[in-house]
Parts: sequence; C-alpha cells; structure tokens
Amino acid sequence: MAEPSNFLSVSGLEKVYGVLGANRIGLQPTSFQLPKSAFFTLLGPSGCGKTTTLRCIAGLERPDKGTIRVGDKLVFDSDAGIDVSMDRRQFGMVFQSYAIWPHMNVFENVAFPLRVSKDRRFSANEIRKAVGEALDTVGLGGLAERHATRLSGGQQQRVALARAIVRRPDLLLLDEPLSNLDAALREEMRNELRRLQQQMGLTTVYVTHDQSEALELSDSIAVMNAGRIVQIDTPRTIYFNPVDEFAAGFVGTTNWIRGEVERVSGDRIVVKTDAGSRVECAATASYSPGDKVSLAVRPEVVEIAPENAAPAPGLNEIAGRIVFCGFNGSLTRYQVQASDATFQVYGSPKAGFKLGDAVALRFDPASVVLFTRPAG
Amino acid sequence: MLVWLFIGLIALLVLPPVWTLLRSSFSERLPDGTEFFTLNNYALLLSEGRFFTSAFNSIVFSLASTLVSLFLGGAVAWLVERTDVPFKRLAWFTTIVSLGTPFILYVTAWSYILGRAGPLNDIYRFVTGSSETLFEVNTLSGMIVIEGFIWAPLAFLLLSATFRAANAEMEEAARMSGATVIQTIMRISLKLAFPAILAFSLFAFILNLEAFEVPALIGMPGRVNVLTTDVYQAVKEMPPRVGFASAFSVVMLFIISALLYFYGRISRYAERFATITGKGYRPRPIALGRARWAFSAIILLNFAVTLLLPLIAMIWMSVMPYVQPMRLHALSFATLQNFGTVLTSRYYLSLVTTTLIVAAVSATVTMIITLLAGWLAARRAPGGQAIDQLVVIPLIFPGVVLGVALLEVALRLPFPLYGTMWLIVLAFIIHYMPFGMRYTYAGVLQIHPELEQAARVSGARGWSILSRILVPLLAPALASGWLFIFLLASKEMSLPLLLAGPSSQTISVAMFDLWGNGQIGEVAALGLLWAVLMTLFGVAFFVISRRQTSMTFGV
Repeated sequence: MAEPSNFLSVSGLEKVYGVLGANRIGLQPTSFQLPKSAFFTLLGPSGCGKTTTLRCIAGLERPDKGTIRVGDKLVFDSDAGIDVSMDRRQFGMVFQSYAIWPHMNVFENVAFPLRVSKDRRFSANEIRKAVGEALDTVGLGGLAERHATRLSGGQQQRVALARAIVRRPDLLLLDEPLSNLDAALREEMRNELRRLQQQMGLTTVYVTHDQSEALELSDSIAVMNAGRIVQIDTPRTIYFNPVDEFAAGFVGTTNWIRGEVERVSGDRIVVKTDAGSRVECAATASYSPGDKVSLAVRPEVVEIAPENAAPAPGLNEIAGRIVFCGFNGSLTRYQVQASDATFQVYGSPKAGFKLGDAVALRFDPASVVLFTRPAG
Repeated sequence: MLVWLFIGLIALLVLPPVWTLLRSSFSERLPDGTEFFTLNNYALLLSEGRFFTSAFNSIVFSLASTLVSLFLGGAVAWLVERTDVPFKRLAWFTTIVSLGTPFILYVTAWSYILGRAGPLNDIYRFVTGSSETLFEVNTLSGMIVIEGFIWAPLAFLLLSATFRAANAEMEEAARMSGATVIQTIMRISLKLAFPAILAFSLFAFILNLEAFEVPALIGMPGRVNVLTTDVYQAVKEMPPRVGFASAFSVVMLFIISALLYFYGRISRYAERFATITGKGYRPRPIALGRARWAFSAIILLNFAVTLLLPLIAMIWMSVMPYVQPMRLHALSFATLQNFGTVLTSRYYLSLVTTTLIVAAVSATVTMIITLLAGWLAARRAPGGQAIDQLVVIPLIFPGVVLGVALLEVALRLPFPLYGTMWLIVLAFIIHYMPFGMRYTYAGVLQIHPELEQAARVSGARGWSILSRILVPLLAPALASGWLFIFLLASKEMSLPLLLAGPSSQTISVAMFDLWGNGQIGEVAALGLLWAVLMTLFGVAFFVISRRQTSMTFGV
C-alpha cells in the first residue's frame, strides 16, 4: 500500500495542444499528491488546464508525459509506456452534463457499471442491493423505476452521483457537477456532496471555476492558471495567504493598492502608496526600500468607521467617501473612493452610512498581503 | 387582412392538385367531354393484378435500398464523426460532389457498370471464360443496389449530424463505468442513435417509394414496375388513362400520408433523446488502433461507389462513340466528339438556360413564400397553424403524382400554362415548399423573439421588422434553403418529364430522351459537364449549410 499521504500521486503531467509563438499551449508539467479520503479541488478560470488534468486522471485524455498513480496502482507512466484504459481504472466520475442515458431508467443507469464489470460478475440480487444502497445514499430511494427523461436537473445530478459511487471506487472525479444547477439547488447539492464524500471516505478530485464552491468543500485546493498550478494549500491559506496576484485576485474579492517600500523596521514594512499615503504591513518576506509592491486587502478585514471616530492605534487608516452602497440582507456592500483606489468593503446591515458620507477605512497591518510587482 | 390573403395564396397552390386528383380518380370522361361519377378506376385498380405486383415491388425496393444506404452511409457517418479513421475529408468530398450530380447520371453510370457490356460482367466472363452474365441489372436487385448507392450520401449527411450532436459525455460515462469500446457502441451509442436511425430509415423509405429515376431507367426496360412507373405509364399511354393514374395516385397519397405521420412521431421522439450537453469539449475520437486502416476500407468503398466508379464509367462512356466494354484497345476509338456536340449545339445551350432559369426562379419564389410562412408559423401568429399545415401538404406527393395532378390542373385552366416552363416552375414551387419551410421555420426559431420585440419597441412595424431584422439574421438559412432547392430542382426529372412541352425542356428531360434513343455518349458528356457546374453550387451549399443541416432536418 502506498503512503497514506500520497494516495493519488500525479507527477510531471504534461499535455500540449499547440504552439503559439514561443509558448506551448496546454497543460504544463504538473505534480501533486493527496492523501486518502481527501477532497481536492482544481480551481481556475476556463482554459487553465483543470479539466484537462481531471480527464488525464480519468483516462479520457492521454497525457504527453508524466505518471499517475492511485493507491499502489500505476495507471499511467509515459516512460514505461503504461496506459491503463479508462474502463479498467475503475474510477467514479460525474460529468458536467450528468450524461444520464435517456434510454434507460434510473435503476439501469446506476446498475450499468456493475453490469459491465470485468473483474467479477454481480448476481441480480447483488446488483439490486448495491443500486438500492447507492440510490438511498444520494436520497433517491423509491425513484428506481423512474424514466431518465423524466428527471429534474437536481435528480439527474443525484443519479449521476449514484452511478459514480455504486462500485465503491478508489477515486471519485467530479467535473463541474454543479454548474448546470440553479443557485438554490447548487447550495443544497454542495452540502450533500460534502456529506457523502465524508460519509464514504471517498478520495475526490473536483473541478470548478467557482471559488466559493472550492473554498467551502475542499480539504485542499490547487489554483490553476494558464496550464500551471499556482498554489496548492488549504482553503484558509489560499484565501488569506495567496502566493501571487493571480491567486489573490481569482479567489475572493481583493482591493489592490500599488506603492513602493519606504522603510523596513523589524517585522513591519511601511509602504508609500502611489497616491502618497502610508500603509503598514507585516513582513512576510524580505523587502528593501525602493521595491515596487502591490498590497492586497480583503474587504472583510476592513472596518468602516465614521470620519471623526476616535483613532485606533496600530491600525492602518485611509480616508474616503462612499460612492456606492448596496444592501443585500446579510450585509451592506460599500464602495469607498479613497485617494489610492476604490475600496470594496462590507459593513453590518444595520450600519447607517449613506452615499456621499466621508468615512475612515481601518485594517490590521497583519491582514495585508504584499506582492513584489514585476519591473516595468 | 394580409395574413388571410397569404393563407389563401398557399391554399390556392397546394389544394387544387389534391382536389383534381380526387375528382378525376372518381370520374370518367366521355369522348364528348362530359364527365360522370364512377368507382370504375378503383375497381380496375383492384382487379388488375398489376397494382398488387407493383405495390409489392415498391415495398421490397424501398425497404432493401433503404437498408443499403443506411448501412453504407451510417457506417461512414459514425466512423467520420466518432473515430480516428483516416480519409475523413474524402468522405465529405464524396458527399458534396454527389449532391450536385443528377440521379440520371448515376443511374446511367451504374447501369453501364453492372450492365451486360459493363466491367462487372466483362471481368466475370474474362475470369470464368463463360458467355453468361453474372448480374442482370434490369431487375429488382439491380434497382435496389443503385437506389441504395444514390441515397447513401443523404444517410451520411443526416446521421453524421446526429452523431456529431450527440453528447460525447454519454459515451465517456459508459467507458468510465467500465464498459469496453464494443460494449459502449452496442449499449449506448447505437441505442441513443436508434430513434434518429429509425427516423432516417422512414424518411429514406418514403423517398424510395416516391423514386422515379431508378424505376424508370432500370426497372421499366426489364419490365419490373413499381407504383411510380405505373402511374407514369398510365399517363403516357395513348389514350392517357388519367382516371386510372389518379386512382393509383390517391392510393399512394394515403400510404405516404400514413408514413409521414409516423415519421413525425418518431422525429419528435428522437428530439427527446437530445439532452443538454456539456461545455462543448471536443471529445477524443474513439481510437481504433491498428483496425483504423481496416475501417478505412468502408470510407474508400463509399468513395468508390458514390463517386469514383460512376465517374470513371461516365468518362469512359462520354469519350466512346458507342457503348462498349472497358478494354485497353478500345481507347483508340476515344474521341471528344460528344463534348463537342454538347458544347456547340444551340439545343443544349437552351436546355441549360431553361433549367437554370426554372431552378433559380423556383428557388427564389419558394424561399420568399416560405420566409413569410415560416415566420408566421414559428411566431404562432394568428393563422400560423393553418399555414404550417397547408405548407406540408405537398410532402405527400411523389414527383410523378404531382406531375399528373398539375397536368390536369393546367388542362382545366382558362389560360395556356401547359407546355411553358412556368408550369414546371409552379410544380417546383409546390413540390419544394415544405423543404424551404424547414429552413425558414428552424431559422426563425433560432432567433430569439426579443430581437423582434426590441425592434417593435423601437418603433418598427411589421414590414421593417421583416426586412431589417429578420431577413439579415436569417440570411444563412435563406441562402442554404435557396441552394438546396436550386440543386434539387435542377436535377429533378419526374416533374419536368410530365410537364415539359417541346420548348420548355430541362436538362434531365433531355438526358432521359437521349438515353431512350441510345445516345449514351451524349448523356454522359452532358451529364459530366452539368455535374461539374452543379458541384460548384454544391460546394457553396455545403459551406453555408454545414451547421444548418442538422437543425433543419431535426434528425
């Protein structure tokens, strides 16, 4: 048995689609490991290579290079010429369109993987029992005889899930399974997915471009951009300590301030912004005066206070004027025009700021993330 | 109200043929011109064993040739759309060229290839040394093979649209569930395509039932009659047995109406199988491995039977002064005489002009009528449903039957239409209205009603909405509909054959006459030149409509 910390191990995975100038378009060499029972998400904008990665793991796509190992089974190795065909990898997969076969009823759809099983034959009894369990697990008990063309989107989704887990696979692959559902159903299915994954202890690879889905569901997330993994971390780390501007910008909302390091003193860095004000940040890496930097400030770390409120020592403070306020029930979203940038901040729904109010924005230096700006 | 005038116009186009047929099938005309009601025509139909023989032949002929085109075209379509078989471009090329080739040309070519002096029997005699023939072409089997080859490109076009539109994730899901390629094909791909295959089969069956070229050119010389040739012969007999032909026709109308009804139901069922698709990920074609070269034989076979062999035969016949076996020594007779005759004769020039004018005018008028009809029907305007139902009526007419009906209509008209090319134009308009409607109706459905509503809110009225919003947006659908009708009309034979006068002959009528006179060389030369011209139109059609085809036919 492989080490528990790398149940799924992907290394040097590469798939080139074409060449554009000096760049090779496609999946650049990509590696990651995940432990058994992990919920792992590939997150990124469309065309970033997340679906290609998933399809390579599934065997639907043949990588140019690399190895893929699941448990102690090597399913792909370009050097050794190993490429286990997709029907022998025995992974469960849910497709974006669900791919529920319209000429079969729910029972037959879910029973299909057992009926075509190669390593062992299932008796009619075993099939009935396994399908029944799978349908119960996804909350569709009693719908077995329903015809596939008479299912709602949410039900199709559940059938697809039941079909994927009926064989109790080593690995569950989910390709944007929630993107075709409406908002309310999406939220419900999100909870359902996580519950199911934890209950069955299924190692899961999930592909999505929806950052809130990724943050809420995952044990760990790989943020991808232009065919590369930018950062692999827990949702919290990804959110609060993104490694670069792309990760910070893609996951969550971010306010950007540009400036130049003025001085470094101990664990504090003082940045002089392009507009001339000064912002303090915690030193997470070594910077020297004169470095061009971008500061990322999440809206939820910013406190909005009346202009003339008592000063709060130790916090950064920026003055501005409210140019937009939108009340959406759980909070009020403000846009505040300051000299450096337009800030997006959240206030309590009960806060009484109005359009045009002069306000002070305050935030902890430790919550500011600092990035070096490339020269030029 | 303009809409009601328009409905009246359509009714005036489609109803008289039906009414005339019914009327003359129940009447008998005395030499002094008086008519009286009779059931004689139907009684004669049932008592002459001929009707049952022809009906039986028709069914066997249609069924078997449907299967030939389904297996050939369907297999090629699946290979091209779903696998990594080589020569995919060749399959498309074959189809495009065959779109523009008149059927009579194919039929001539094949009747030579399979005929007594043709290479097939020639090779057989050479190999075995016997003086017998291996295959007799003027038989039901000969008809089936040739008709099957003729419609294989259509099977390819319609089914490739189905296979292309199918959700590849359905197959991938089966593979991920542990199914092998073969299991996936048997349990998923074929089952999913089944309604579409059934719909195509019924469609092809109807086309074959209505077919005229192959029965007339291959069947009649061998005295193998089907329903359409029976109708034709009854009209061409002296004196014409119009009442008898009409009774024949009415029976055919009923059969075809019933078949069309089932076709409609199956098509709707097929649509239900079309499900939401994923994000348009180009699916990985099924890897055939080393077998791909074996499978490519099917593509090459299709190329050979729908293009290469007929072409070689045509070229051979066109450069030979008279029909003879394909032998090397015969090459010394080779001459361009036939091409010279065709290219320099005023007669052929007038044929070309007439045919092009007839086809272009028919296509234009049909598209104008069906633009309005499709718009009113798709937008469910008042009267839209009546229009929808009226426009599809001509679908029940085989060309020969519509020809008979219009012949009678024209003879009863107070002004001289018979013998002019305008009667042929009228026939084509009626005949192709349902086709034009499929293009415009589907086209309008693709245009969101809000685009028109936005124009209305901006202050535009009916006419300017039509000309400024709808027509520009519909341009691709209108253009491909126009070309489709133009191509069909320029090679249609049965209607002009019955309706053309001495001064309004079209290419296919002339080819039929030449063929009957044994001037095969000129048929071949004329046909080849014509096919080149039409192929250019065919390419245009293909370029414009590759995306339109699947949605218009709904298969």
